[in-house]
Amino acid sequence: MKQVIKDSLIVCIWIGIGTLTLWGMDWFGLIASISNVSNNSSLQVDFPAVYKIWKSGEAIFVDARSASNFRKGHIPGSVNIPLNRVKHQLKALPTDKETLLITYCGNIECPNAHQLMNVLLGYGYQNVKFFPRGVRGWQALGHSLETE
Amino acid sequence: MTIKSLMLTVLRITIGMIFLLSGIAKLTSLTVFISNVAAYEILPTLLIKPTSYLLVSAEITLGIALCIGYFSRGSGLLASILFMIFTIVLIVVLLQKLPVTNCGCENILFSFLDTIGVSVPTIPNWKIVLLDVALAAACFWMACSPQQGYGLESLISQISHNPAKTIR
Repeated sequence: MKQVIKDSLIVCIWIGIGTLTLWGMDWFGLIASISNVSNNSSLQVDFPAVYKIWKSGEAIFVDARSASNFRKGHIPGSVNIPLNRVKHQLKALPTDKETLLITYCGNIECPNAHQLMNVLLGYGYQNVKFFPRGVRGWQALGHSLETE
Repeated sequence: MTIKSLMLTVLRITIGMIFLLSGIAKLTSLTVFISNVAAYEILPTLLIKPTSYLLVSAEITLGIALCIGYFSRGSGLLASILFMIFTIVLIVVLLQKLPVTNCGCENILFSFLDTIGVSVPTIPNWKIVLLDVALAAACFWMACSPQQGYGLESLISQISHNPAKTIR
């Protein structure tokens, strides 16, 4: 039994090294290059379209960041649904599953907006897109944020 | 050559291939896998990515170790623990009726079952739970068995102890 545990610990070290390698690759932006997920342009909205949509009020903007980051500043009128609280925060969204939802997070490197879009699609929302530039992109183009 | 050694070897390589191919598939579509992990809504946001990396790394490492037969008993124990974790998570998802559309657990075993007419959908269901329990039991048996089957470990052991002795 001792041998089995010793073997397990050695394998755990290798698993840890693998995890750190993946983390490092992510840090240097290499994950996106090996990941074959396509940045399907039909699922993205960017400037200037996103601003027009926001101004027209035809979409609900969904912030995928944590509640504390949301309070610091978010796209005006948006609702906060952190990625790990989707089930509990769904009541913030309309019951009409065809409503246009636009997810976003901090910046272009943050994957949460894309992930939240997939999760919302899983909940049956049919018209979900993501805004890759997020809050930082919104600010960079001179638009103000709303704080709580 | 004993039947038990042969069975252990076949089982070890099969489970190793399941882990390895599943891990590689997840690695090549890591963003999708991270979304799948997030959809389970069990982990805090900060832990979603590290857990995804840990799972991918564990699957690939265990897959390689089991396929080549090195640290195979320790890998069997870890594989058993991993399958038990998958089982518990799936049971939680099924009981809470979370809308997870992809369990993230498709592998060559699923493809094989599909070819012999047993359809196992990738939406979490009780068939996958049963499959995971069976695989966990098989891995635990592999870890507890005093025999190693045929692999790199037994080869090294044979060469270092007695080159003339046949593999157990």
